[in-house]
Amino acid sequence: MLVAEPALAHSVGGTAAGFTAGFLHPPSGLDHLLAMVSVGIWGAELGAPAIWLLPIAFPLIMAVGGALGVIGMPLPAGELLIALSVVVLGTLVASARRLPIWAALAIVGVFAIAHGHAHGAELPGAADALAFTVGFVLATGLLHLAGIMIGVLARWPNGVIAIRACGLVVTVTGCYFVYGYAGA
Amino acid sequence: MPERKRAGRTTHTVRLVLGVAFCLIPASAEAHTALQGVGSFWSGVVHLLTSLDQLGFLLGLAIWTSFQDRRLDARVIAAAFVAALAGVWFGASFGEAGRLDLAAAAAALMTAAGLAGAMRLRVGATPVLGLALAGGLVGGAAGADAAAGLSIALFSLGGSIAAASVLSYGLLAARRLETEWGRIARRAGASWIAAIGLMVLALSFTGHTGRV
Repeated sequence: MLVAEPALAHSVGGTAAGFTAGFLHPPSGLDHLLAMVSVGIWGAELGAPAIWLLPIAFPLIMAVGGALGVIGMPLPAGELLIALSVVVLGTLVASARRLPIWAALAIVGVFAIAHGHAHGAELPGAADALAFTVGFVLATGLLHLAGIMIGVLARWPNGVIAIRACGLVVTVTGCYFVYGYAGA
Repeated sequence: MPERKRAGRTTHTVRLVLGVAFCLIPASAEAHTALQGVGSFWSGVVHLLTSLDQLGFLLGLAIWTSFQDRRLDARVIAAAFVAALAGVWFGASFGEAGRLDLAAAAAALMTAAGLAGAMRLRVGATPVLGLALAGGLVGGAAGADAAAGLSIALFSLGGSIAAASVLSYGLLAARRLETEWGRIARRAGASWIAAIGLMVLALSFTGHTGRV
């Protein structure tokens, strides 16, 4: 039963490869990874309703950006926006900045468009675009969840320090990305 | 008593092995075009279970329905069952014409179900039942081309039973998540489904069906 036939390997590989490529896309790019996790941490720092509203809104807005990327609509300075998202979100986490929910949504929304556009632009060439989409949306959601779990550390005094230090590291890394973009 | 226990354990093991064996049935070169070798009924079942857009729609619908009155559950399952059954017959009658449009419609319905769940819309029974009917019809019709050379009656029955089962299990799971975090998880899951639907919709407009 488990012996793979040559003709069968292709279809499984196509879907599995598409899903794997999509699933690995957000965590394999450090800029995506840091931004997604930071959204979760910041949401946890802000508390309800941001803790659940940001991770729910992010994939939806990201999909709008992804759709723009899929249909080939250009996004000026998209890579710069992604790099800036790391800087801004890292700073917000490090400073535990409390903003009104509409402002938090607006900030996250703008960056979600840029991240989604980057994913969407790679979609049509994927082995199985549908599986790729499922993979990257799932990975994004799990990264948010990881961020929320890290953000829960804020309940302890030492956890607050650790989270702020993480935010600082994210900001510095983001500055490196912006520097790299400017130098390119 | 120990013998009865052992017999129960054996039955459980047999069920487990059969379940795993079913999951491991290798897919043909075009996995989504159903398994012709396992017969018409199981082809219909497997076709739905390997259709990510259909599964996404049904799970989105289950999440949205779980935010409504419990008394609606049975009617939504029945509507999806009947619509999926009719959809295959409808699709088989009209052939492959408009297949791309059906893919776009399926993606749009998946987005709608996901959005409604993420927003936790409570708008009464009619829109939920309408979405279940529309999704079942479109999903069934989109899968009809996979029934070529098979018995339409058995294929559609398999597909509609699978659709009703996915919806039922989805509802059972969603109804168990009645805590605050459970509600958040359901809404987050629905937002993921909407996001996937939106991307697939965009793909269908570029002429890419989302599959190779």
